[in-house]
Amino acid sequence: MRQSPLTGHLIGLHEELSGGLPGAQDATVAAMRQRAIARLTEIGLPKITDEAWRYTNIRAFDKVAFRPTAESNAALTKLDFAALEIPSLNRYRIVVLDGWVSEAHSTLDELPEGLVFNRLKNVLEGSADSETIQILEDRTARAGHGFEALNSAFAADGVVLRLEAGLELDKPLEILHITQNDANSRLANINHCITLEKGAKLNLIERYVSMADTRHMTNVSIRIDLAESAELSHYRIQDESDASMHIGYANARQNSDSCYRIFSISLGSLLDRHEVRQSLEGADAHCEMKGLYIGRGKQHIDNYTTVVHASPDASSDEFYKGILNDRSRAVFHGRIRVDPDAQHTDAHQQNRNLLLSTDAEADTKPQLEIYADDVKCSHGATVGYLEADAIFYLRSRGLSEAEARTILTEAFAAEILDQIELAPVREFLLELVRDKLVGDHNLKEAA
Amino acid sequence: MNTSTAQDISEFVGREYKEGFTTDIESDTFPPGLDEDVVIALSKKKNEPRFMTDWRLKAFARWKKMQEPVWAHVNYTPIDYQSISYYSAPKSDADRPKSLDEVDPKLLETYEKLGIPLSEQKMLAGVAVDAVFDSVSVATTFKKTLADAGVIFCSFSEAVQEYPELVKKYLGSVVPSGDNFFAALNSAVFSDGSFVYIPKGVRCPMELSTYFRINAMNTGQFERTLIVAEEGSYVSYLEGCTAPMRDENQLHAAVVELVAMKDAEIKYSTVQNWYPGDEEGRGGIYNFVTKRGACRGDNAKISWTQVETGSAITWKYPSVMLEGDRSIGEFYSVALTNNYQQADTGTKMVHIGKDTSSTIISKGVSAGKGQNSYRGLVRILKGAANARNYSQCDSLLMGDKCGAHTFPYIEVKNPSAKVEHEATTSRISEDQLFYCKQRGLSEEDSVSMIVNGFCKEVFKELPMEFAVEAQKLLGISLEGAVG
Amino acid sequence: MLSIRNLKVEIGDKKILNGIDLSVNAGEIHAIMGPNGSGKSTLANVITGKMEEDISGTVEYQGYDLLELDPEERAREGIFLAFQHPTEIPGVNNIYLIKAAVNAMRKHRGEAEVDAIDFLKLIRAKMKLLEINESFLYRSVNDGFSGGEKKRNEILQMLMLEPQLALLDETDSGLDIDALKVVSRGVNSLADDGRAIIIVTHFPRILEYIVPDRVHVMLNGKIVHSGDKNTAHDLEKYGYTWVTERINNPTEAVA
Repeated sequence: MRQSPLTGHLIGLHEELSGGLPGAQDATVAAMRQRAIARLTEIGLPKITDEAWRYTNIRAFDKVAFRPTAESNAALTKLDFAALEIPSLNRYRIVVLDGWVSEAHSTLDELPEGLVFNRLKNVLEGSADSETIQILEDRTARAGHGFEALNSAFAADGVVLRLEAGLELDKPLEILHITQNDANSRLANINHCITLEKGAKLNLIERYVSMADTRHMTNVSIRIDLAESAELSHYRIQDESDASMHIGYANARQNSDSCYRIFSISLGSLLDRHEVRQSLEGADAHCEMKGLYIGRGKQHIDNYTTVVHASPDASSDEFYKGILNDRSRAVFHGRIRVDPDAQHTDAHQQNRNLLLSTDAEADTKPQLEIYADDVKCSHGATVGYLEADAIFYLRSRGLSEAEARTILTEAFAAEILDQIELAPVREFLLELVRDKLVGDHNLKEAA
Repeated sequence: MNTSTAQDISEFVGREYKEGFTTDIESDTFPPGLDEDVVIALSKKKNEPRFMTDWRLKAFARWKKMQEPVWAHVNYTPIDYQSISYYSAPKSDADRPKSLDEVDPKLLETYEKLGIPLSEQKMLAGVAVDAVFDSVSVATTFKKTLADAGVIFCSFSEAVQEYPELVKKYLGSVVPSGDNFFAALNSAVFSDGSFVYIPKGVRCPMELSTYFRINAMNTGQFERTLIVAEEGSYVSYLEGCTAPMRDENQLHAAVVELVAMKDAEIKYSTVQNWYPGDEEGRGGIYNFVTKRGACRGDNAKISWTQVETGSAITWKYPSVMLEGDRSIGEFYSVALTNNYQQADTGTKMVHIGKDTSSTIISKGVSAGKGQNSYRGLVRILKGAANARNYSQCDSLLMGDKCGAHTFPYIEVKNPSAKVEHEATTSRISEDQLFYCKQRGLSEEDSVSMIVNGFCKEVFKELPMEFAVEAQKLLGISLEGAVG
Repeated sequence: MLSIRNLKVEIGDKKILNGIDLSVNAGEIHAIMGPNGSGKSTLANVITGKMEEDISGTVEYQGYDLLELDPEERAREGIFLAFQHPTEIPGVNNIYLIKAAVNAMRKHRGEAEVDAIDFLKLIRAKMKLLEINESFLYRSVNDGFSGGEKKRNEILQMLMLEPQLALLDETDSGLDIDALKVVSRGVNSLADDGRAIIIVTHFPRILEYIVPDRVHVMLNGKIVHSGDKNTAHDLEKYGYTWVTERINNPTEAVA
């Protein structure tokens, strides 16, 4: 099979750079990286002939000479942190700069007892935590696509976090990923591992920003393990440069009685692919997956989600909504699989798309794969436009057509955002989404 | 579900295949194998004009380069296409019967066993039957009534001889010879089938019906059906399929093409009851079918209704290309899989014209170790302003060893489109069962009633005779049903 | 006709029914009253066979050990339950269900199937009595019915099946006064010397229209008081606390 130019470039780059990556001298780490690059060579980066990528083409980035940067280059230039704050949010913060954890800008000293923090870099250099390396190794072996193999091959840094049993973190933890303004073609491969032991509770904000409209790539894996009765609320806010490529995948495993809530908010990037792979492996586990994506310009947003019900009496509820303008395109893939033993599963899935422009496109693939009989499963998908009746109703109350459209579009988005319990995050996102929508030329033209 | 319920359900769905018998008639059959010579011989045997032979050869050349598709949610041992015989006809071919009286009594007996006695068909109001025994049409009734209306309803072979211009014009115009692996194979080797032509403005005076039947061992059945409805015409076509019991698997790869011109309507109904294999999953038909209709003109309408209860494997996606403005596509389906049956079926609705609309209602019933998948595509192209689609896919699971899957694909490139898809999966509710039992109904009758209720939206789309047969096929007698 | 002795239902540690004794004779109308959660619906579920486990005690019906019979056998022996929440069965015609049920009963009694014309005539007469529109017959069973329509449909089915023992589980709840009168008229038309009717309710109002011979008060899974029709008036006047007090201070019993 012919290798894409980007795949070839990255393989060559690995040969050049792998000697300088953290833990390069460690035989285990080096072997893991070698297997990963071999896997990438074998499967390549995804092509549209792969069923899982049939609507998402990465060819626009084929010629970009993506390149990771050394940690020493990732030192902060001039950065106005105040402008990056989520207003009135009291939180712990870990900053990841161009793919490297920046201890200087993180509030590591404040982290409470019972929250065990480490950097993947230290793990790789010390080989102390073979479990984490095993996770990278396993992922390589099972890599669903080349980006995962790529991530293991270039694995350098990330947050390795463990909440000990019973710890309920008093404030949310924000992992803020920043790509700097001199970062054209920058490649950040990031691996996070978050483990919540029995009964632990965490609000996690996973946020991405770029300091300029550069064409960079973020390739990020987040691995989540929830022990019995653990609770994680996870807010993923992706607002990177409109020229960038963002590939993210969360693999979450849930034990019995645990609860996982994820809000996946996609606002930035030229190409955003976000995968959530949820595995419910204990009775009475519950997961909620909520998503909101807003496409403008030529943005391409692909949400690819899988929920596997592997144990009985678990429930999942998935609801993704998207607003598409200009020439943007959204893809939604949602699969619910119910294994034979997973009786009494309650699994539901919805995807709704609003097309605002004649050049926008939505492709949606909600799927049910069910092998147990005593289950309640449903899915639904809609693609449509603003209801003429609703617009008329608002106009009859004296609003202009443009105002009516704005109100209805915001209301469409708010149905997801209103479910966010953390008030500062909710308000921040409502504002951010409003800006994106108002900045939208079609709405402006109509005004 | 308590054990007695589970048992009753398994009894209900576990009825034996009643159409399993073979008719002992000498056949004129090709030896197994497929190459260009077989294609040429087949064409020659049927005395086809040059354009047909060429068309078949072109299809065969394409097929040789194609791969068997693997994307469907089905598993089967690979088919050896060289071990199949590509032609089988009743021996008396040279001396075709002129009327029913001349038909081999054994054939008639076969039809009697199938419950479609031709002698009685004549008396059945408005149903003409073109019976396909293995591959060659042997009896056609009601020809005169149809001829008076200007309707052409004949075997495909006859159409090639009598109406070559029509065949040349429309054959492959909806399903090109290289459309997919099985369609290409069919195009190369199809033996016979039905041809229907409804002239402009004619409402076909009766429902047209064909029964297909696979009889001889190791013969693949490759029929080809072509229906052309000219401007402002209407036809309702019924297709019933059944096959005798065999231990080994038999291949059935049919192609159906429908062409509906401006203001025309075609209603195509199928009750498919091919041999599903035994309780261990041995034998059964591989039913790999390509069905597609084109709404060529404005306001055209094509409606597919199918009840799929047979076959070891069903692979079929009756589709509609909505080319004309305001054209309408419909797909109503019931698919039941039991024992080791696998079904991967659904539809494609491609919206091309403005104000086009489509409706998809799919009901899947899975029992035993059956696997039932709905796979559908709704594609709204850029020019299809104000296109509408509504899809509803419901699955009913009976027992904990079966599977029900839903794989819709929705692609929308026009912002004025409105597409809605809903799907649910559940089993028969305990409350519904208890309610019926409290009214004195046995468990089995209660289950039958609820399953029939589940499928009702589809059954009501079938012509009366077929609806009754379909309900019977689900193992249910709706004796004295009112309303 | 019906004789219940020391009936108990325990699910886990929870006692739902705590030793019920009840005798109902042919020709009698009984009312069982009690607040929500007192065990009334459980009693109906035990009698009709919806609940088959965790039961002790005996239920005898016309010489049968009722607990040994399947739900449909009980139905065919003449036990009818008007459900509190009638189940929706999409796609199944109302008239088809009723006819299938009537024929199941007839078959059980060794009778031929009902003649289609007689059936239609009879059901139309019953519908007139219950002020039900003809379109009712051709809709799916309870599917999309309003609360009141569902309740009327239950009574229509009851009149068509002519049970020996009819249980009405909160048939009055959610009915306005006019509908209540209509439903009561239907129930009264069934009552005769050969049948028994048990009305389960927590409002005394329905008992103004269907006059009971006996009224039983249920609390916490037990019948704590049985009296004549005046019991209902007392309950209306004093509420269920009156019964509680009466148990605590038997000497100050009212009436």
